[in-house]
Amino acid sequence: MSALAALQRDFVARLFAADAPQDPRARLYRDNALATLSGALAATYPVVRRLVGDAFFGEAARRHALAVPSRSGDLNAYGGTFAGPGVVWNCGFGTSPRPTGTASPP
Amino acid sequence: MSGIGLRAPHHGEVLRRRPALDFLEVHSENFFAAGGPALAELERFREAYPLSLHGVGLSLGSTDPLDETHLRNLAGLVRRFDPLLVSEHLSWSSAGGRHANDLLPLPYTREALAHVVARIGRVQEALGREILVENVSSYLAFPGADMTEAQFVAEAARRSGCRVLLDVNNVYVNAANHGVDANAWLDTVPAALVGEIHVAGHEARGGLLIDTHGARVCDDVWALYARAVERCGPRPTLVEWDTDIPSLDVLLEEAATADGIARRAAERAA
Repeated sequence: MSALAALQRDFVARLFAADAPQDPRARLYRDNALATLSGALAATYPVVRRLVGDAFFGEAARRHALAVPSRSGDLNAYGGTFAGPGVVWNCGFGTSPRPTGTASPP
Repeated sequence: MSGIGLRAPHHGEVLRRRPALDFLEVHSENFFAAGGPALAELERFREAYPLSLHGVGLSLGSTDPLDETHLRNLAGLVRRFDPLLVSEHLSWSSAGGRHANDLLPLPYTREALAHVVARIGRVQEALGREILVENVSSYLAFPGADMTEAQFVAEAARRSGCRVLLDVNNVYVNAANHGVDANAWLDTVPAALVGEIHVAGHEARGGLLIDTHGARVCDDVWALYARAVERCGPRPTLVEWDTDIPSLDVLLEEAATADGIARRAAERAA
């Protein structure tokens, strides 16, 4: 592997690692990437966002961005699986109650 | 010779008012769908203004294979709209097929330079025309550089036969973030290579300047812009605004400011 390929592979691995980097500059890139992907989900799923509220949606979107890679440079292609059964509704919140006033997923 | 980035909240107003602008810039990726209302609307803008297609997702500097679908979509747009300018960023976005969907900085090494030169050549071949590559803002620098960022940008353009989209806000932001002299940065890029200029706003946060595209262009960046047009002559200049999008009139004021600076610079140079 070339030095450039290794640098890029390591950078992206750190960007989406479970633990955020300590270095504030590296942290900034991670926050930007997660905000960009979360923003794409918010633009695609406005109704889900209204149903579950901004705080719940924001956390679900951030977790989705960490867990489900974006596979295109075209951001409009991201998030096809986000609102599927068992994804946004059960996205690792464990014991968190479902937001009140919303229907059960199919 | 100024334009604005066309943003959704202004679409109707721009078509109604037809403000005096030299061009409109759009993000290429927003028009990749095979049909639909966005493309139809872009046809209406194209009837009224020259277009600049500005790409954010081609990941020119990535070692992943070039995305041929992305390139085909872009080539289709170029054929359909015959834009005044076509640009991308001198950055990378993906590794191992995972996209950060961000404009990540490259290491300024000979290896990375050779890589982007080959990729720019491939893109220009696919599009059948010259592109411009933009210098990006960055918050970290990779060790082991063989050259400065400005040298890297200038050499990438010179060797590949493309031109530079000089973002003077990014020069300013990087100069502050990396302790580089912004004027020296500008002076490193040969004037003839500069084909377009971007100006935008930024904000200070946590000891860094962040390229937010969410504020007016500050006086320091306008001063840098004046220096650039004095060196290069007038160039198509774009006011970029992507977050906290203001009224159309604010964008038009910024475009008029750019025109005024370019005019005075031309008078001084004459």
